[in-house]
Amino acid sequence: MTVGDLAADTALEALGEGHFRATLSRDWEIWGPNGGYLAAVLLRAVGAHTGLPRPASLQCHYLGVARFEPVDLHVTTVRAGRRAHSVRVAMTQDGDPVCEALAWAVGEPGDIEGFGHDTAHAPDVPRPEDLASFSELAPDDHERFRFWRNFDYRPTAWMSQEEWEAREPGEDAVARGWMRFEPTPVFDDPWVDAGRVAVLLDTFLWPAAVRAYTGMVPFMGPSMDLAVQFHRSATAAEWLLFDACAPVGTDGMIGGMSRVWDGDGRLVGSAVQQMLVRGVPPPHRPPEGEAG
Amino acid sequence: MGDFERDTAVEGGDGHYTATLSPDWEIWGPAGGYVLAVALRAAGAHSRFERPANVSCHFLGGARFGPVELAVTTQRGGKRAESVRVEMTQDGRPVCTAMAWFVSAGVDGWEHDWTERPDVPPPLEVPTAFERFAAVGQEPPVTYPFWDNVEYRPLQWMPPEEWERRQVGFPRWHCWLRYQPTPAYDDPVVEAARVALFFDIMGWPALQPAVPAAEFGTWMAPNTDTTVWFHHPVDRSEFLYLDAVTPVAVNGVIGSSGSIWSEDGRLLATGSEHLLHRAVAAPAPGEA
Repeated sequence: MTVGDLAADTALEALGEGHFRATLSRDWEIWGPNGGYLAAVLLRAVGAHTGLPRPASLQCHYLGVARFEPVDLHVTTVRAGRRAHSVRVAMTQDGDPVCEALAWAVGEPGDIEGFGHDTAHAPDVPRPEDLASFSELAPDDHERFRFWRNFDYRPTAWMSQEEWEAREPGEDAVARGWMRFEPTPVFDDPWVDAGRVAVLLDTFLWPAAVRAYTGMVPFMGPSMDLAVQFHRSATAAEWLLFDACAPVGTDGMIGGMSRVWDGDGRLVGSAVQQMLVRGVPPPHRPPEGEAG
Repeated sequence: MGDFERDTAVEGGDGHYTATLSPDWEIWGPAGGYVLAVALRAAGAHSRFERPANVSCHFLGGARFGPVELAVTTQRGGKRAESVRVEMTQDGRPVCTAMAWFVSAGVDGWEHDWTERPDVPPPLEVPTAFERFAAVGQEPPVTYPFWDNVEYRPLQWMPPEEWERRQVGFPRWHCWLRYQPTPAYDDPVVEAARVALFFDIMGWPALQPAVPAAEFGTWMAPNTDTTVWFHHPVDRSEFLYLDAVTPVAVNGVIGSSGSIWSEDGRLLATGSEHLLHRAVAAPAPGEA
């Protein structure tokens, strides 16, 4: 069984003047290359271009589906201040647009003094060591997409296939669980660390959304965009808790928000995302057994 | 007093537009939400579709109240959706860059809505800020021209002397807001822009309860970026209920998020905003 390594699978070749090349790894396949994985590649390019140590935010438009092959990244500085850089990054494949993003990078914490507070509270859920892993709960689903092999994924609640198909809509459209990346759980590079957070923020809005429906949904919801706020580093946290909800689907779009917390209950990242509904069924049941 | 539709209007075509930033929308200079609204109007003028799905904006430099240029390009256009980029400049200097998705009005799909607006009194049962000051026999403070364009009904309020003595509390700001003199519009892009503007305004007032009174007025936090996702159509809801929190400020980077609801309880949009601490006091009205 092969698994990806986020640092290796988002590595860049620098070609000069803001031009980078990466090769998208099939280990991150879920309806094509996972959107969070693409965001992680974009973040690597932003970090390599700016030289600043701290990702502050990323706003990404997903423009086309890429193959698991090389992609080109063109990065330009939109504005460079003393403490912060605004950067644009475009990912293309054979000239076709894959995604386009804006990002803010900021200086070391000591470069930006300021008032600080933290009133965010993590959801009260069991610890990962007290939960079963997705590979144990649904071994067939776990094996179906290579993407899931990159994690030890422990949903905070679970339904059997029969319970899932018989569920009643009406519970909150929420998905929660603990994730630890494999084979390498943490990364020292702050831009890889931010990519780790982006993967989780992007992935679970769909599993949250399908909670609002019953049975096997006859549609899918590819992401149109992802906008992330990075609050603090998580380089020391092997386990990350994601908390996603998708409360509104209307007129063909589903919107929702996600948060990622470290094992000490500190808010690491927040995101909001919009999906555009397509009237074709998803390739298979996603790991949406979470009951919140 | 400004008029939102007039003051965010753009002229031009073929990806090149102009607008004039009006001093009626001053908060520390042209309010970021106002600048964002102008960028969204330009994106809407360019797009083949009239329904905004989302908009993200990076604020790159302060602008003067005067003419700006907007270059608009399609990043990807499909049968049902179009991704658009906007670059706003003034005398060649960047003011902001934005991206927006627009979708076809004919997009349909499965529907769900498990949202529930917070249980708050209807707008006309909530006193305006002016009425609250009058009730304690005080004149309201001189504020920025921006607030002349908005009827503001705060759901949390305390008299100034109590505010000075307050303990640090949870950073939330929620209120009813209505534009004046024109509260609603027919153009769906103007309606979306009317909502989007407040996601750029929310972070600072939502932060204030968490700021010790002694630190107030010694620093400011301009926005670096704002993103808005549109859900239900605004449908001319005159009053907008804004509920915002600024739960985390770490090493000078301040994150805020919020939601805006219609009078009849529909979630119109959600949004997020980042602010960056600056150790200088905010400019007084008219001094930007």
